[in-house]
Amino acid sequence: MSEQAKGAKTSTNPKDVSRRKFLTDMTTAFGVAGATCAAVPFVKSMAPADNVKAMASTEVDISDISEGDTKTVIWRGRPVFIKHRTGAEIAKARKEDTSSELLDPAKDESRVQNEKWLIAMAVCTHLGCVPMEGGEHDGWICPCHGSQFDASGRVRRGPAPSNLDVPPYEFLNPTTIKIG
Amino acid sequence: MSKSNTQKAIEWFDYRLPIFSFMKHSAVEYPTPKNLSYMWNFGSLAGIALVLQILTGIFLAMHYKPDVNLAFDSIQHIMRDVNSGWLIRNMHMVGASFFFIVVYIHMARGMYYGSYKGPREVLWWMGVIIFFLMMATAFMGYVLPWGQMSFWGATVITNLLSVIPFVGEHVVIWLWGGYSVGDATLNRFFSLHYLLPFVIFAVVFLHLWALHTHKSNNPVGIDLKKDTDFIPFHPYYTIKDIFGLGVYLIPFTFMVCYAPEYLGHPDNYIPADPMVTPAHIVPEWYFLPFYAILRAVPDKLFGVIAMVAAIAILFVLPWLDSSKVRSARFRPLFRPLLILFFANMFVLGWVGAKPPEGIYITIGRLATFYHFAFFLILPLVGMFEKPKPVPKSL
Amino acid sequence: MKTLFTLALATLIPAMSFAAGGGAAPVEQDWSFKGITPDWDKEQLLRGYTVATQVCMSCHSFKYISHRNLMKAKFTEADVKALAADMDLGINDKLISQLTAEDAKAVYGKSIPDLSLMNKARGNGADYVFALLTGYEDGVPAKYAHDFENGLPDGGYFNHAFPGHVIAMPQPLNDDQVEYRDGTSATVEQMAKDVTYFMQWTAEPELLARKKLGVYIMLYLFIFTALAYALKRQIWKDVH
Repeated sequence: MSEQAKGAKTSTNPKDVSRRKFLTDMTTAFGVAGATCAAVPFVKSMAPADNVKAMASTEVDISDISEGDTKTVIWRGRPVFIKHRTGAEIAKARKEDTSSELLDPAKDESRVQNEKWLIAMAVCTHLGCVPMEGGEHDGWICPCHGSQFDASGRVRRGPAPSNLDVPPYEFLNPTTIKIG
Repeated sequence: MSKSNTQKAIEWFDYRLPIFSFMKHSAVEYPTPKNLSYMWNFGSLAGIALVLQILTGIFLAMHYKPDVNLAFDSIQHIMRDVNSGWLIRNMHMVGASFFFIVVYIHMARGMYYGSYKGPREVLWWMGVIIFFLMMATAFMGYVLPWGQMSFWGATVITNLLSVIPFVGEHVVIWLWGGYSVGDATLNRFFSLHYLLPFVIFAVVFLHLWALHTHKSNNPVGIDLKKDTDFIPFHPYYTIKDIFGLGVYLIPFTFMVCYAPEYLGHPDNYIPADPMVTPAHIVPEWYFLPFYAILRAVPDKLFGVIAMVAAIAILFVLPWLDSSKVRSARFRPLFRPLLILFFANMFVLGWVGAKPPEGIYITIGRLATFYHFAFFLILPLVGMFEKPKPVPKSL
Repeated sequence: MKTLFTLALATLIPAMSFAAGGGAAPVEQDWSFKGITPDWDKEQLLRGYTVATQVCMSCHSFKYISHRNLMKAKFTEADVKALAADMDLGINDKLISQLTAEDAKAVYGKSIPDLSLMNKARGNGADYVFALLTGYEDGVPAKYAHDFENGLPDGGYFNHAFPGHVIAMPQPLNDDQVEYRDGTSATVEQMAKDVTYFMQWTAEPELLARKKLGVYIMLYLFIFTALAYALKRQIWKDVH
């Protein structure tokens, strides 16, 4: 059995060489382009499916949340705080707008649509744990690493690097909000 | 001329794990007969078909749910909600049929050119094992959508095992994981349907190992001795296989995009119902010839034995064929008998799709008889046949 | 081997349709979703939707369909919201009939199939569904009298297309049963045609995307294969 393969001799005729190079380049380019396009549907198939995307908004009835209380609802599989703030909490949050203790300075005004209602993701910006009510700022404390947030959802003590995210939402009417 | 950094990196790696040398040896310089026809494309095509099935299957498994209450709906979820889900599922569905077409042609080529003969018997065995594994995988895959044909196909085929003497009933219940085809069955079929393709992959590796040990057979069927009879695999057969792949993908795409259900059965879009059996249960087309053999034998036990033997007999084909000549080109008696054997396969497939009544029973029995007769007269064919003169070299 | 192979291929393709078929084929209709590059006719889909929701849905569900899905078939978000609102549904609510499975069993003696996939779940798909919807007959026609010497069984209706000719579903469509928004006259045939068309969409909402993508892939493959063939010829010139 032969381990040598000498049944062909590559042509060195310049015409053959250039034609061969041209065809090889074209076929390779076409093949690579085709394979890349073929990968697209597979990659896309792992992105959220239509039914998941359709459920991207949640409507919440807020009429049953009395002043001072917070309700936690699920939006896109993650918890969201809906806090009905008291007058004192609002005043304090506004007063501290300029406090040097804010790690991620933001005006309370910019974080709410209606000053009575704070809507913020219940997801600590450090590593994603759900903060509990408590801490020293009328807000929340994260059970994982002790980050604290105030009544405006602003981070007041690390290691969380930034304020609680405010999801997109709108008031459909005074007692219903649509998150997402 | 100094070596480029890439070359140096490759050499560094190759010294420690010689994967590049291995590739060079077995996929680039690998000596291949220069006279192979396009019939030899189907081996590499089968490999590509397997890889495509595994790839599409992995992505489908990310969305499929193997639960009797969810399976059917999860397929519709794939078809309707998952991005490009319909494309991936159609590819998997059509891909299964195309895999069988390719493998059937590959097997037919092996039989026609005597590729099963020494020293390639073990290579041939590995192929037969792959074929058995493929059938098991395809059968379990067809159960997963949990439509009427899935359920009743599973019920009928698993019941075949009840013919095993003494323990048959227990084996069936064990296989089902219950007293009927149900949730446990579906769940384990999913597990095995995911596993077996990787087992196939491993056997394909052995198949290739055996192939590379004695190199490809060729249309003339003679042992090639001169090094001018061989050409390196790359670029000659790489480009030929790439061209073959292009030709293959055209009808494949056509089926995926314009006739995905052509080879399927409408009943499988009715959710499985253990209370109602479809009027006419037919297996997938690629099982029809063997289904016909099963039904041709009036006894349950012997029917099952005949069906398994119809394929298992391929294991001993290298010894049944007593001729020294490989290629059917030079075998005036074997060639027509083999062509008749292939035609007979179509007859069996046709009968397998018909209801078991009247003339179909008679035709089915005659065809079954020939299927076995072909193998059993092979020793005599070799003895009495006078081969045409075989060239000594290309 | 070459001729043998060509011959085998020629028989293989039709031979593989073994699995399909059975029974007399219904008359083939000229559906606009056939062919290589079809497009949904929004007007007809809407008419079909009207029949489906006002007639079929008194008993049948379309459990895989919500109004939102129509947005992939030329309907705008505003269209879809208005249609859903008319039915007191949100756009993500599935089209589920008010008739429960238990009630259906009590009235018709059998469970009522979901219609989302009906056009795929019957041989000859849309042609069969159309033939069934237009295949009702009051009583047994003379031609079949000898098959029904004792008349039709209780709760059975005569239908030309249904296997065995006795169907448990009473004739669902009658002239002018719905009022089309576009003023089309609602004959039985018109409604049958429209609702079958709609059901083709519910069965295969991906149909357009599938056929459109096919054109691009096939074009690509023709060019790629031609290139590969030219290169193969060029390279194999060296083999003698």
